[in-house]
Amino acid sequence: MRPSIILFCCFLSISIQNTAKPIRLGIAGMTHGHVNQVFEYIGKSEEVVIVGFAEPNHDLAMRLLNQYNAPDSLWFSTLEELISKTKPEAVCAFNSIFEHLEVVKTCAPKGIHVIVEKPLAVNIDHLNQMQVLVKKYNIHLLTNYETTWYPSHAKVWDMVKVENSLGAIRKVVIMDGHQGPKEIGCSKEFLDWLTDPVQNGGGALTDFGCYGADIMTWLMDGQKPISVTAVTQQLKPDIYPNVDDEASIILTYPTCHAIIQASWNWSYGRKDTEVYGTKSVPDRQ
Amino acid sequence: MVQKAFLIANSKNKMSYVNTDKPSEQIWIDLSPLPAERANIFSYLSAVINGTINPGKDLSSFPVNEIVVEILSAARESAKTGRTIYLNK
Repeated sequence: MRPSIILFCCFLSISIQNTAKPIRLGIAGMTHGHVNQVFEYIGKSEEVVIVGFAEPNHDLAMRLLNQYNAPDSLWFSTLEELISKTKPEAVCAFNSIFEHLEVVKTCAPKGIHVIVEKPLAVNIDHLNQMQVLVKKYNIHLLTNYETTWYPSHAKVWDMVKVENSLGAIRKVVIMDGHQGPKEIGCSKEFLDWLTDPVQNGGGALTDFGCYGADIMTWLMDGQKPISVTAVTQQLKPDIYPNVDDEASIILTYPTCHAIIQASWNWSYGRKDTEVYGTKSVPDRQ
Repeated sequence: MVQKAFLIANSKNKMSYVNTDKPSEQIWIDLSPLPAERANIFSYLSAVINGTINPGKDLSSFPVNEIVVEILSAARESAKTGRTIYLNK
């Protein structure tokens, strides 16, 4: 029996080596403040190797590369140059929401998968163009949200969908935001597009409404709401003259109701989801 | 039917749970770490490209995020017009 066991172990080891081959990942744009997660990840895992950063603003690129002790050689002025020289399998976008479409247009025909920082697109027109490209070139197009990696959301899923210990979801309140991007010290390069109605597609509504829309659509298994009602305000027009800083969005579904509170006026940073069910958990003591 | 229980989920490593039979009692649920391939965007991306994860209707998936864009677009229109927007199926 012993030789067959050894043989099996050899196969196992080969298969692990194959799946562990690192993914070559390029970064498109560095203006988004969340690009810090790329630098924090470098060297911590063998699953992904960062092959370069494409950022037209040379000063910004150098400032960030130096801050995180990354070599200057990782900088490219355009995404096209990064792709031709480093051959990435996937590209992660950390530029404005408006610019996501351009990244998909550049990558999809080359078979390069794309992941963008939330939300996916500024409007339906951009979305429609992305849909055509994704289908034609058969790439993955993913959207990254900080909340996706919270263990609490996985537990909500288990309790609602697997254990069924909460009953049916009747009401969900999703509160996201902070005191305002300028107030919390976001960089000038980030603020330039984050507070621009074209580049960001809105203010707090886009920046933080997307978390609630994502979590709620996920909880509803990809079902669209019946209706969407929103109220926005500019409570700080002196700081944000061109976009909303406060947004409440109400979604209705056949069996439940969701209220998304997206704000740059919270007194503190928060990403809280409240899920109200119809059933109590049996006493297990 | 009355609402009988709710959860508050956020970035903390515990989750709050309230059963309305005892509304003053907040129960803290300990959370397990996520599986390694779902613990961060880079591990997830790697698993998707290697074919070990199908994004399906995950939080990161394209089908879910198509609807996110529709919701945000409708929300903008609603805020601008003061009307409720009904989405097509």
